[in-house]
Amino acid sequence: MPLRVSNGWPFIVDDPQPAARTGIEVRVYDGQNPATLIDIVARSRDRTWLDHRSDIGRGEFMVHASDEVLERHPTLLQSGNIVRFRLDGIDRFAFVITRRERVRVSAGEHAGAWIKVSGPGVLALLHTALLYRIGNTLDGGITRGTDNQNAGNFLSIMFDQAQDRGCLGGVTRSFDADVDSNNHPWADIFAYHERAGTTLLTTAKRLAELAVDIGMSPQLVFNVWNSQGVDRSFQTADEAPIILREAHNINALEVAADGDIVNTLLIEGADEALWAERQNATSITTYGRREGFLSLTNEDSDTYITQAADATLDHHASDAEHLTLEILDVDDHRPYANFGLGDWVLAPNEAGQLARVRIGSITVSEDAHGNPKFTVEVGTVLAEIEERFMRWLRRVGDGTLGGTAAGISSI
Amino acid sequence: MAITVTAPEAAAWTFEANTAPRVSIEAGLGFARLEVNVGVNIADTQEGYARNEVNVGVDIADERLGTVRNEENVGVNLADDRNAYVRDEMGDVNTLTPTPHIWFVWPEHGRPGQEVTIVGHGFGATQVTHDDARALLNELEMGIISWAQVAGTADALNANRQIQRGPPHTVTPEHQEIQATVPPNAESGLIFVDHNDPDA
Repeated sequence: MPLRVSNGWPFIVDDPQPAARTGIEVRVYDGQNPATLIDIVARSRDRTWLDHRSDIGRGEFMVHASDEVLERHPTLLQSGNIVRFRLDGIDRFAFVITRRERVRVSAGEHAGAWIKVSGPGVLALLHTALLYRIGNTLDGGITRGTDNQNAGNFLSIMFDQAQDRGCLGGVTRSFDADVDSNNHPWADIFAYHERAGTTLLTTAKRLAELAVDIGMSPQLVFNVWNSQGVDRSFQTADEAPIILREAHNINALEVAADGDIVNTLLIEGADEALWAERQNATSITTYGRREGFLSLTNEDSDTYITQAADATLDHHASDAEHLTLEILDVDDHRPYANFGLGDWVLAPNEAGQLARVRIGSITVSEDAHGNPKFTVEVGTVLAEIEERFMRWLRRVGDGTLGGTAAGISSI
Repeated sequence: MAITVTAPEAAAWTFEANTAPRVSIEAGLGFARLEVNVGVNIADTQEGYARNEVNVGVDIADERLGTVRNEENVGVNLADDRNAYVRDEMGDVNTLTPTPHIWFVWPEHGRPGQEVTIVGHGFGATQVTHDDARALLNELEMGIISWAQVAGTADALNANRQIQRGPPHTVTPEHQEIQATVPPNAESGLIFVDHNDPDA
């Protein structure tokens, strides 16, 4: 008799633990051949990066203008090259060089001319590819997407077509039409449409605002998850819960409430018949009517418009609370090693009580001795939901108020 | 027809029915999924457990575990024995071998070598032999620490959960638990339990 097979249950294998604390290393890779290491910048300083869930983030470092590594490789810092930050032997973040500034430092041992190198995280590479017309030609239809699909189906097709046209060299993807980057089946089926001409980055971020989490690994693997991260707020057989506690591993705690409230949306669709108004009655009662204008002129599905607007308003009715925590470098509670972006951990809320929060961003800098310093931003369960839609509303809102049609990236 | 479901979080949703006679309720948040099927003849069972549930007068406190605790199956004709576990819950007409069905895995993440507990039904009381029963993560075989039948008393299980200090899972029916380890070189994916006919 053949074996009977059960249903599948999602499981996430955690990243390996770093072997030793070796600090931050800067490695520069060729932008044309992203797997090719050009050299290691051994004498850099002020190495800093912001790793943000489902967003681009940013990185920077400084190198002395007369450093021998620049003599060996005069084009080391040219735009387009990729810088990977390696923390304790494991690549944790990468950015694309887009800016070099000469900085003169006049005091102390660092006196002299320095070059400050900075740029956006490698997720920004998706900005270099567009959604093309259907059939990857100039004479196919101009609306991409269908009413019943998942994010992986849509993004994998658009990503593959972009690579067929020669874009995104060196970038791979870890998801497909069936499973996400954790090899888990896609959770959400929805209607989604974009007009040709939209960048892949804009598309991916918009999907991230509606349904999924996105990211790009330092090795340029494009990841899309149903949800990034795991729950580390519980004791398991092998590991203690991650608890960020004042007087233990939190050096500073800052609470910010984001009160950019909109409860009535006037929505512009692709044609006059698709103009719509959506409201959140509860919020209007509490805060009074606060109107916002939303341009979705690249959207011809009234289903999608209604879904997006209602979801926004449902979760945009009150202040969203965010906590910023400066983390001391304590064993078993280290960002990246013990928890990462999207993970759920325990941290004090505004009232000082421990609550489950989700890691939204990790900022890594270093002190005068070169030791890494960590700052994490977290959101509560409610704030987590609201943040997704806050990002969406702010972006389309900015685009509208600035006179730019939504769907055109501002990057 | 519309059905209102009150979720554990005290939020209420109203769901429109699909075409008669099949009525489906789905919260869409991944943890509160219900289906009510009345007078169903199901030819397609690719979604398995969720499509073959007849729930009448259900009071669900926690649907996270969900597929077998609150089933009252009346006049169900299952063409595919993948769903045979449903019949076990009926208390009668149990002619098919229960299909393995995972209710939950705890914890839901870990590194190679770490221990996870797979809780479910139809696994068989023991592993018997390697070829008869195994747990797989992403097609890699997991190391088996124990494979056991567990009596279905809620109190005992709750006490067990408290010892493990895991999530507040509550399992009332008789079930099986597998203690397994994450295989070396494993990648994230789905855990499956394969099992042969326990009576064979």
